[in-house]
Order: sequence, then structure tokens, then C-alpha cells
Amino acid sequence: MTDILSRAVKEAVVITIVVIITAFIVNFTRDEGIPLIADAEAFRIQTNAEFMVPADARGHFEAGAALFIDAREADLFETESIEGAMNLPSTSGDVHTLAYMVPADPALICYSAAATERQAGVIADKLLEIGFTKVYVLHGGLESWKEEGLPTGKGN
Amino acid sequence: MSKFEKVISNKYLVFAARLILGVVFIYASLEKIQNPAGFAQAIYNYRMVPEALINIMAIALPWLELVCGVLIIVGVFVRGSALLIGAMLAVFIVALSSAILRGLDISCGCFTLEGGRGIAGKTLVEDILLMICVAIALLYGGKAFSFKKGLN
Repeated sequence: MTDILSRAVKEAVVITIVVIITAFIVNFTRDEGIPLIADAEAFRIQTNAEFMVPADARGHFEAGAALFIDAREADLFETESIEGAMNLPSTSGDVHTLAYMVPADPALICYSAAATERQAGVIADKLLEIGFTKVYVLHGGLESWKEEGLPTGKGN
Repeated sequence: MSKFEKVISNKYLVFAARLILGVVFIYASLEKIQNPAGFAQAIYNYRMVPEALINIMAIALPWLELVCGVLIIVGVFVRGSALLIGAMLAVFIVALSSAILRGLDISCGCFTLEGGRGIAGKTLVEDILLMICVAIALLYGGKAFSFKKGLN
């Protein structure tokens, strides 16, 4: 048993060293390569849309004056989402379909989970690009909505 | 050798365990290698890794998955690959459990980035099942269907 482990550890060290060196060389020679040290700002949300705090979003929700857009993937949307929200995943959502479905220029409040708020920013920017003007990102995501005690349901 | 040992050391079972691990890890590595920035974002979303280490992990981990996946299938450095795969699975299990306990509503980043499936107990169970394959490959791997020794 000790022999097995000691041999496994030796092999693992060799593999790790070779792979790490190769991975870094490849990373620095390709277009998709990333810097060694992350720019933390790059992970945070970047969007041209304005942020809306949950208290303001509540007003829009209660007046039925806004359409909520869930930018997460369908499985998360179906598990729990803002009541009446529409699912437009940031990766695959077709914003043009939305343009056909809503004739006027309603207030659109995009959200995702707080930890992945960037997804909401992505879909909000797409909506701004195709001509919607009242596009917002819900600050704090679905978690902040629930903290306000506002209703959620199972998306469909 | 006990009956149980005879069963789990069967060369076809061992090869099946290696094949499962190899295919899963090769598949899991592909999108991460194509999109290191997306994988870095997925790591960041777990809020567990210091920001200075996120990109280093995002660069190295997918290649480690790919190489270990290939080596374990072809039968070269099987035990080393199995050990590394086991270590990666242990990290994934800790990260997934922690995210579930903290109620993080994020995509797991296991096979696809920015989306795909969310974190669920099911993913955790899959990782634990893969750990059994790791144990088999680590203890009995490399004896059969090895590129080094030829198909025997």
C-alpha cells in the first residue's frame, strides 16, 4: 500500500510539473490567454444599464410596470425565480424575440444570482443594443429580492 | 485475496473505472481550456479562492484534467493520474458542499461555463461515485489495457 502511494505521488509530481509548465506556455502564446494574476474588477459586473435597488424594483413589480428578465440558465430559473419573470439566459437568450413580444418600450429589470450578477449585465447590454431604453439591473440579484420579502415562484 | 478484492481487481472492471474517469475528465476540460476567462469567472463565483490565485488555477486545472484523463485511459502513469484526479475531485466536493451550505445560486462550472446546470446534491453524488473509480484505479490500475504493456 505504501509502495503504491509513494509511486503514485512520484508520478503525480512529474505530471503536475510538466502540465503546469505546458499550460502556462500555451496560455501565453494564445489569443484567449489570461494574465497570471486576475484583475478582480474584471469579475465584477460591467454593464451600461443602470442599477435598480430592490426597494424601487418592488414599486415597479407591485404596479405591474416592469418586465423582469431572469438571465440565469433554465434549470435555475425553473427552480426559483421572480414571479412572472421571463427567462433569457445570458448565454443563449434571444433578445430579438423579446422585441417582437413587447411592442412598446417597457421597463426591463434584469437579474441573476448575486454571485453571478455579471449574467444580468450581459443580457441588459444586449437589450440596450437592440433599442430598449429603460433597462435596469437588479442590484443584489435574486437574493436581495428575497431579502425584501418579495414573491418568487417556479419559472416556466 | 478475498472474493471482494478479486471482483474489484478484475481487469475489465479496472479498465471500465479508468475509462469513466478519463472520459469525464477529458470532457470536463475542453470548454475550460477553450475559455480560460470564463472558467476564472466560474472559480471566482465560488468565493473560495484568493483573487491572486484564480487565474493560475484557471490556466492549470483544465490542462491537468485533460492530461490525467488521457493518461488514465491509455494506461501511462495510471496511479499518478488517479491520485491527481482524486485530489481534484476532493477539491470539487469541498467546493460544491460549501456552495450548497452557503446557499450560493451559481452554475457549477463542472462541464460548461456561465450556465449549464446549477449546483445540486446530484453533482456531489456523481463526484463521490467517481471517487470510487479513483480508488479502484489507484489500487489496481495499470495492469491491463495499458499503452505501455500492450493490450493483455
